[in-house]
Amino acid sequence: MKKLLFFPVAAIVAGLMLVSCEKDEVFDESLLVGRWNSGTLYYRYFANGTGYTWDEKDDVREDEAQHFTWTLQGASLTHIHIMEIGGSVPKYYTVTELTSGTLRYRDVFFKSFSFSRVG
Amino acid sequence: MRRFFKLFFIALGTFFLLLLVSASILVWIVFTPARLTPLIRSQADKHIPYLTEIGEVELTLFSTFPQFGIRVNGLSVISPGTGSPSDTLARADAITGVIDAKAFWKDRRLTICNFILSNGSVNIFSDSLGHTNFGLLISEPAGPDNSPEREWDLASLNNAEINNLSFSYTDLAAGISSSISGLSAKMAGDFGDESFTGSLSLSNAIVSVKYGGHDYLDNAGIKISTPEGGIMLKRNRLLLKEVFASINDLGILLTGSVENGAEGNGVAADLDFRLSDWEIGEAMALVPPAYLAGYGIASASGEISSSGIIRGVINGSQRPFADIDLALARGALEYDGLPFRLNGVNGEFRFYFDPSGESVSYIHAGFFEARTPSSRFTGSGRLNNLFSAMHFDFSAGGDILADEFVSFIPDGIEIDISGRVRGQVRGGFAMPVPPGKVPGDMRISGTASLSGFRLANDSITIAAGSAGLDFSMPDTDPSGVNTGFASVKISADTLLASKTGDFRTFIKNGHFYIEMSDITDTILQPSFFFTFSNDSVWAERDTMSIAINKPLGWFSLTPAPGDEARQHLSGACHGYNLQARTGHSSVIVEDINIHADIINDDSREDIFLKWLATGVVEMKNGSVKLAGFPDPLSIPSVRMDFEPENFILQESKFIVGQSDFGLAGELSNVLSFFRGDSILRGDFSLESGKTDLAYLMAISSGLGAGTEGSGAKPPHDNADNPNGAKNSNSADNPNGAKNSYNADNPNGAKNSYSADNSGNGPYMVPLGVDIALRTDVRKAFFGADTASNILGRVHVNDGILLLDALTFTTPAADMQLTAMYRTPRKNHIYLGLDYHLMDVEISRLLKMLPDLDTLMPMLRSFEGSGEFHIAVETYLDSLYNVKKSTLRGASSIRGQDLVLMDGETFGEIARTLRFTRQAKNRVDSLSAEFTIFREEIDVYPFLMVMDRYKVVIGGRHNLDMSFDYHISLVESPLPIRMGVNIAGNMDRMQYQLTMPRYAEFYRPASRRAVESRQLEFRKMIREALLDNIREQE
Repeated sequence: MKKLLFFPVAAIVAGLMLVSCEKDEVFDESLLVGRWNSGTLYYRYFANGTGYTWDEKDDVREDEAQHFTWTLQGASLTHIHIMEIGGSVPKYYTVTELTSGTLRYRDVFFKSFSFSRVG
Repeated sequence: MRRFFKLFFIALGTFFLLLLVSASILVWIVFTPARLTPLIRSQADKHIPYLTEIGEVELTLFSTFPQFGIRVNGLSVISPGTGSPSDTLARADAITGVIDAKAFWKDRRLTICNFILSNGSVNIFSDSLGHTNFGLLISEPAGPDNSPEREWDLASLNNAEINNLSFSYTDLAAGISSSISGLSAKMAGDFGDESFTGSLSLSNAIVSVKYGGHDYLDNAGIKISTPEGGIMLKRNRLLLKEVFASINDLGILLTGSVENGAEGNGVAADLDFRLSDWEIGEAMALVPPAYLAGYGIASASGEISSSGIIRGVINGSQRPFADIDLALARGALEYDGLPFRLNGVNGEFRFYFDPSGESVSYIHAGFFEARTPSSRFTGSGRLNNLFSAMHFDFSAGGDILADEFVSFIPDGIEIDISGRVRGQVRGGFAMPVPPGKVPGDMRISGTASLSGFRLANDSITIAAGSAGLDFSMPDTDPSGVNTGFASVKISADTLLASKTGDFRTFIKNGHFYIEMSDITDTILQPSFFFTFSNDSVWAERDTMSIAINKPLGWFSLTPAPGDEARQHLSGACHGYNLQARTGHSSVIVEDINIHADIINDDSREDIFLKWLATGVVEMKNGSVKLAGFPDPLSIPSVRMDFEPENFILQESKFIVGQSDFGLAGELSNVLSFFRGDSILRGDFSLESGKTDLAYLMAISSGLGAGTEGSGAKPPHDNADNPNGAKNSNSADNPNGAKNSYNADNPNGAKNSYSADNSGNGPYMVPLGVDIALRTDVRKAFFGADTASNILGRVHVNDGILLLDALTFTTPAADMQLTAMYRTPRKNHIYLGLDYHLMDVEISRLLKMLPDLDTLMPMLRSFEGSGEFHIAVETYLDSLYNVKKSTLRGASSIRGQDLVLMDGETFGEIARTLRFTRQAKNRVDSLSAEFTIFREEIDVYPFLMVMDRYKVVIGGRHNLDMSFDYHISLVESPLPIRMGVNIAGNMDRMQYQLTMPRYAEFYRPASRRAVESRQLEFRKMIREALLDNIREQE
């Protein structure tokens, strides 16, 4: 019976610990500035909190990229995609790794994204 | 007394008897032929260098009484060995000479009382080397002239007769052969100081002259009668007084003088002449046939009479004064170039040459007339200033049957012409006429009437029933400064022009007036002024036809004011009942009025820059019926002003089916746009009382697809065409737009549209234009749906097509739509929609926007009304496929008192959560936001109250129809809180009971950061959407 209870309790404790660890992680937003690539998908972050993204798979060039604003607070990365027609589309991610060459984050549905710096 | 007379007559008789006896002694005894003949022969041998044969010489008295004469019989002068056919140089049967011996003896004056030559001949011959048979007669002896000075004077010639003289002159070197036969002449007169005055009569001379192989005279009868005349040898002057000379009875009467060598080497003439009724045929017979052969004159007849004066010196540098009248009467001519005989040729002409005042010299044709079998010509004319600045004035008339002149048309041009033309022409011009130029100082005017006129070749026919023509050059009262060169006025009761298999045109009661400038002037721009007024005009070509009643208008072409290098076109046209038809399409306009001014600039290639137009177009009560369209497009009125920079649509109204439209506005910067200096701006307003959208979409579906019959029929007509609008935008031509963009030239709006309508590629919004359309549609129908008060703006701005805050009301909701279509490049097209529906029925919402079911499938489970806002944008490829990586969207839904339907998803949920089974489950409120990013549709957690449960629902839906939702049960009859995860897809849905993820979502005190952020995002999304809502104008 003890063994039977051990695993669920351990899992809950581990989960709680994991969540608390994420909250505490802080990334340097200056590392985010630059050009990131994942396959045909590109993001470009500027230091002034703006950026744009494009996907060459759909025959979109960098000068045709769509704009967004971004904030990085701790590990919380928020993209506010700006629509030309009016309105905005917010996207919220949790950064899991940000180095000079790598960017990884995931959304609330635990969909992960991984980028490499390309400029 | 009787005795006296008796003695007197006896004495006189005795005297004459003694005289007679003495004469007889002289004649028959003293001067017998036997004594005289040797004497004369010796003298002849002495003075004549040729062999002379004299038969007999006798002294005559009785035949020459009262004078003694000498008769030489059988005289012959022989000149042998010259090659002449005859060695006889001269011959005479008898020559009788009588002189006044008493005068000669007393006064040393020789008076020839009589000289008679009978039956003589003279034969003059010169061979090809110039050797003659008379050379010894004219050769001068060498050395000084030792001839004794003449001791007598030639006094007078009382009578000289030549009877039956033949004369022959042959010059082989010169090719001259001439003869005179039967010459009889009489001459009498007095000799003066190297002069002779008297009379001459020449008759019965038959003359033949052959020169250069041509017969100049062939047995022509020559007569000359000179009652009084003379010759002055010193001055080589011939005096003529009423001299009558004739050749073959073509006589001429001459009076005056001719002097050779006067004033240098000229011939001085002072002659009056008159000839009467010369038969042309006989006169022409005098002309060698070789000279007439080239003129193709088959026959000519008529009578020529002439009289005149010739005075003055004739030489190479001087011309005499001449005043000559010539009359032609009853003439007839058959000419090789004429297919008919000219009859009734009459005319009067005057030739007036005055060298002292050459400016007054002229040739005047008082009148001239001629007839053909069916035509008649008349004319008169005058050529002035013959020797300086010549000028010709004329007047001519005609009554012509055109059929007669068909043969004048050159070979190779198959033209048939018929009808009758009557006309009169008068005018004048300077001569000579420069080659290829219009004659100087030209003026010509006239009138003509045509009846039954028809001109046709193998394909083109022009016919006029009855037509009139007036023309004038120059135009004495021109409408413009430069159009005074000529004017033409044409009137025709019927006018037909056609080309076989091509076109036909018919004009009834047409009136045309044309003025023009000198079109041969290559320096000045041509100018025209043209007016027309017709009862009706009809034309057709192939399947096209056009007809118009009472067309009235004008057209002018002049140099542009201030810039004569450019052309200025101006015109106006007004007409009634215009009907144009092509195939099954037609246009009918009850009243049309067009006025235009156009400046041409040939330096430009673009047609809009080449022709700068200003004007007005007005149209009333028009109707356009297009093939495939069941109903005509009615156009109650259109009025548009246009100028190079601006097109102003003052008014336009259209009705099609149940729809009506009114369009007005202004298109500006047109010229600047085509010059590339500015963008094209337009500001229009569209008003409509009723718009049947379904009908309009149905009838316009398939436009540009190009397949006959592909046009869809309107809803009430679609039974025969079950495909309906399926041809409208096929995969091969997804745009279906005529104005497909030319991908090779995506820049520059000037050439932005492909010339063909192949429809390859998407619709590209023109660059460099800024056109706004303000709409005000009071009621629009779409099937059973009705929208009213559609207000807003449609904007095309430099590559962007924008439906800007279009608001409208439907039974389902008040709506506002903003849509943007931007075409930066062919394979990258932006489409954005901002759509707001107030108080909309959700079921109707899904019906209006079926794609919403894909974005938020749960909506189909609700029934009721709410408000719906969505903004979505994406880029499309050239086939209008969504580029999913560019898809963005945000939406907000609010609903109160909704009814939860037995939907698929919630049915399962209800069973799982053991909802009370009711027919309809009310949802007190629904407030949800969702976003679209690429393929992800995030539904932000929202609270829903139903039955005894409060749940918070959130999750993600993907465009591949997979989803990942979580439902947190936050309030329920159950003592526990729980949640359900629903994942998978509609075919394979997975449920999992779990902890409620959103248990504290609507409890601010307990809300976590993530939940707060999500609520912030929801607020931000909604506020951004609501910010797009515009106040209705």
